[in-house]
Amino acid sequence: MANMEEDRKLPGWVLPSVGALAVILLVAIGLTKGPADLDPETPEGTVQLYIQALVEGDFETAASYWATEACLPDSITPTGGAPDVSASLVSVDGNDIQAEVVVHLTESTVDPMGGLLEYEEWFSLVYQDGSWKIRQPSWPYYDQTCEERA
Amino acid sequence: MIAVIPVILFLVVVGGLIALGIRLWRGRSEHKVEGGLDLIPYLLLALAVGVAGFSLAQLARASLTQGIAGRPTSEIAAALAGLVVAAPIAVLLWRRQASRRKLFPHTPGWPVYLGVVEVVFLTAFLVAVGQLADALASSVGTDWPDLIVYGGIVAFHWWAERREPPPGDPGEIPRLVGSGVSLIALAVCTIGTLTWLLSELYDSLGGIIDVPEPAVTVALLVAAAPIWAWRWLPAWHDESSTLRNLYLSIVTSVALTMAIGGTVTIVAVLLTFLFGQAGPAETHFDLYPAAISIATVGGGLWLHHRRRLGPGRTGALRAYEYAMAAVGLGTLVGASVALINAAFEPQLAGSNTGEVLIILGCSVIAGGAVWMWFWRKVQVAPRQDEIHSLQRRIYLIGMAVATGLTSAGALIGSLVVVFRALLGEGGDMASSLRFPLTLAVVSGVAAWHLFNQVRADGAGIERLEIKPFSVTVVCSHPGPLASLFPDEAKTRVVYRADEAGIIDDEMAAAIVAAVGHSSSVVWVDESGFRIAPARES
Repeated sequence: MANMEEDRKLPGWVLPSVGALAVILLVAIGLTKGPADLDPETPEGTVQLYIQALVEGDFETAASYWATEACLPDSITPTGGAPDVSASLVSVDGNDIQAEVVVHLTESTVDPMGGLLEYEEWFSLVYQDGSWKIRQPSWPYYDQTCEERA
Repeated sequence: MIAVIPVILFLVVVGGLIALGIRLWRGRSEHKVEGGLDLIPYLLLALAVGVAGFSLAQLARASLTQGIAGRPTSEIAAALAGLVVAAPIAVLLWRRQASRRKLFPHTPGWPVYLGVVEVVFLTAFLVAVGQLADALASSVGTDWPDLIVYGGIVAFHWWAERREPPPGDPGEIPRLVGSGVSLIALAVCTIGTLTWLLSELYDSLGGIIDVPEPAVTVALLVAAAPIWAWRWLPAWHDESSTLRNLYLSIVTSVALTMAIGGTVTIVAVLLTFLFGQAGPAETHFDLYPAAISIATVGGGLWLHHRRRLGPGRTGALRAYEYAMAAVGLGTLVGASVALINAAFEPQLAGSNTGEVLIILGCSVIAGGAVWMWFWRKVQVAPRQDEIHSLQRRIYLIGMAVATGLTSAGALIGSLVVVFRALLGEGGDMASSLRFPLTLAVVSGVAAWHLFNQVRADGAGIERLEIKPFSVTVVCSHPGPLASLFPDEAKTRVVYRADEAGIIDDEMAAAIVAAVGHSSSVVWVDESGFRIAPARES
């Protein structure tokens, strides 16, 4: 009986090997996949283009998504330069005129022992001149002298 | 008042843990565990499994969910680092401990490890269920990798537990932990779902209320109910155990507190409406959906767990009654102080808010009724066992210290106000004194009652223990018998002419245990000993 049980048991290396293979597969998928294909005419699509432009250091394109009614930063370049982040969508809420998009951002800290900085950012959007625009960009941090908030 | 309940619950839990520790410490010498406790390797294993599990979930999240911008390289790097360090340690320790379990199957490390994994990963799994439901309801993203990874880890450990069931009382730890975690989720989500249904009903009847979103609560309800049924409902290997008694007494007292709290809210809201202290009816009863749900769920949980406290005066029943007495007394003290202050607080305009007074009045009545009901129940229980019970000592000493310290602290606060006034500083002394003085007096009265009871119990123990009794022993040789009886025993030996009735160490101990504290005649012969009660001298 005991021998039968021993026979039925998997060799000890099988489970760790399957686990290692799964990890390698996950890493491969993670490194090769592209970002979600969101409709740029939607609030979430606008936020996607905005963050992509910032990550690529294209601050002029990023600034083109700012709404004109808001109190704008002094410079189109963020205080800390281009952010090194990855972003995923958390929620979209709103109507035809205004919307709120919540995004989960993961940022690696400069200190290798500092781990990851994970937080959620709220983007407030308004439909302006036929497209969605971001109001009062609160992320990333910009130098800003005007105090009045629209 | 609300702040008092967590303190009481904390005291009950800490008291229970102390009781458990004492029980385990006492039992240690009786059942020496071969192979030691084996806790440190199992806790290291739990740590390694935790780091590996959360790293794997992070890797799965980064790789399998669709981001909107940037590459998830930082997440993948962090997850890989965690996995590379923790996974080999987890595998090695798992194998080492599996071998040790074959040699020493009774070490408590195994059930403790399973319990730690269950509390961490079952909680993570239920959180993942809620996140997935939220994501599905909002039609944005899907957080399913967490669900798969945490669910897989939980299922794997359930399988391991089934394959090698941990023996003895500590073997119940994983099931109790699983029952507790899933019960909390089940209770919260049933309350949430019922509140949603009743809010819809209230809304349809013309009431004005914010109807909560049901997706997360319904999903968690569906997930938690079968887990709770699987962990709690199947038969247990023993009639009762210390750990299960502790679990049952905590759950039963929390459930009854919920039921009473919900009912008090329902009554108070109705009374404020009847006494004309409320706003429009459409908005005034908006607390009802939540209050009815809490009372219903609390009542259901109480009904289910109360009858499992066992027939007779079990340790679990005793712990439940003292816990409820503590909740009642704490509520009575807190609500009385708040009520006195609210009643005498001068208003800048208008009169005192009737709604607050009615709610506090109901709380005082409910707290007082609960305390009196349970205090009377424990006072009519058989005296000798009750006085010696650990639950009673924890209740009396714990509550006496808590109320005594509160009273002393409040008295210091009151004296600060008085001395400041005497030194010519400070404004309205009466207003500044009201709260600390009320608190000092009310909690002082409670402390006085409790310390009195501690003293009465001490006197009762002395009375029970100093009653003298006499033992007449008919034997050939008494051996160490006389030295084993307590000082209150008056021992008289009648010698037999033969050698058939010699008392050895073992028999002497058995005779002392059998006699107890009653006057007796003991007859020793070749077949052993016999005891007959004797008239008290």
